[in-house]
Amino acid sequence: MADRLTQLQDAIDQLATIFYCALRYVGTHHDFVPTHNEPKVRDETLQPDPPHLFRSSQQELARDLVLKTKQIEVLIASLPGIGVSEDDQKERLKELGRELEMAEEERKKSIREKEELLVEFDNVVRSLKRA
Amino acid sequence: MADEQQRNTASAFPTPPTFYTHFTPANQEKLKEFQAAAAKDADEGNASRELPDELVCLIPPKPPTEGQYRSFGDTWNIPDRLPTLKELNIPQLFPEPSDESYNVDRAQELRRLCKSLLLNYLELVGIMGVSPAEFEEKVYHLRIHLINIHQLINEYRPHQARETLIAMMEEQLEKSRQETEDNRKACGKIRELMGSLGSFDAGGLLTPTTVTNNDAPATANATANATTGANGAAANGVETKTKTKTVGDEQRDRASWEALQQAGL
Repeated sequence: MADRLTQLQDAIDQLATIFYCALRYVGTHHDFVPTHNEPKVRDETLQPDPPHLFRSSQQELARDLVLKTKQIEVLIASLPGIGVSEDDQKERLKELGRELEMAEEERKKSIREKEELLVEFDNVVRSLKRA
Repeated sequence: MADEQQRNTASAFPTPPTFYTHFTPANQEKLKEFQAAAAKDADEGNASRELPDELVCLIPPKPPTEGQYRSFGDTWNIPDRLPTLKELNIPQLFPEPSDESYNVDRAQELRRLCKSLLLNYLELVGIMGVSPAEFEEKVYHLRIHLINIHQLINEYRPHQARETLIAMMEEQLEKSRQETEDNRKACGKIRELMGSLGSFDAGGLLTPTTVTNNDAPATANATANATTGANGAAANGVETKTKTKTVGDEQRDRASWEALQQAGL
């Protein structure tokens, strides 16, 4: 999974795509309304959707827009390290480095202890004769 | 030639440079000889020689230290850094960050820009409904907003990188501590087991010869705590080993293997 910032960037790009799609849909699928007693205008390049479909498509596009915006807001709110300054981060990194060194030392010690015990234990087992 | 090179560096998947055929083992050998000879010449104070044409390309040029270069279809600045919006002649819609509360501001700015972006879109849709010819200005606004948002996000990246590093180090620390803990538990188990084996010894499981020899320590083991019991048992082991040489290696190994499995190792 991509990191938060990339997700946010992708979401913004998707939002821009939705902007374009929505306008384009309305531009290419709308029907014409005659004014006064003029005949209804026709455009061969347009294929108007029936009114109910046009309406529901519009609503779907609008919902997409709102959803995407909400998603972007959530992503912004969950950006890592919000409210932590660079100095805090550096301090934390140093501290973690020290702790890691200590933990590594402990780990090696425990492994040595285990290996020594294993040798000891091996000797004990070898001393037993199976009935 | 220069034209071709230009096209080559601008391409995302450039063809190999024309001189790649010069990199033959024979030429590399020659270059080594030449360099040795040149070094000798320099020592003796002779004039430096000219490098033969076919060898010139074998010596890599020094990396550039300033300006910009092109690679895989992109232009790169030296040093590599994010150009500011001012440098790109794009209006900046967020304030210059102050040192303190840097990142809090940035999230807030992002949120504001997103709202503003949506509002601009709404205005654009309105304009399209009334006077579609005037779309240009609004589209320009949308563009500026999007660029600004991306700029903010990209400026945020070093911060996220540090944050990710912190998370990874915390994870590693956790793992390391867990392993230490597991090792200690395993050690405890072995000690316990050896303690019980110590009392087992007294039950006559040892070979008759060792039982008589180790009677005293074995009974002591039965009452002693796990650690001393283990030590005693280990001492037994050393003695037994010398005395039970008749027991085949294979059998002993199998026995220790089974016991180890019981100990959960």
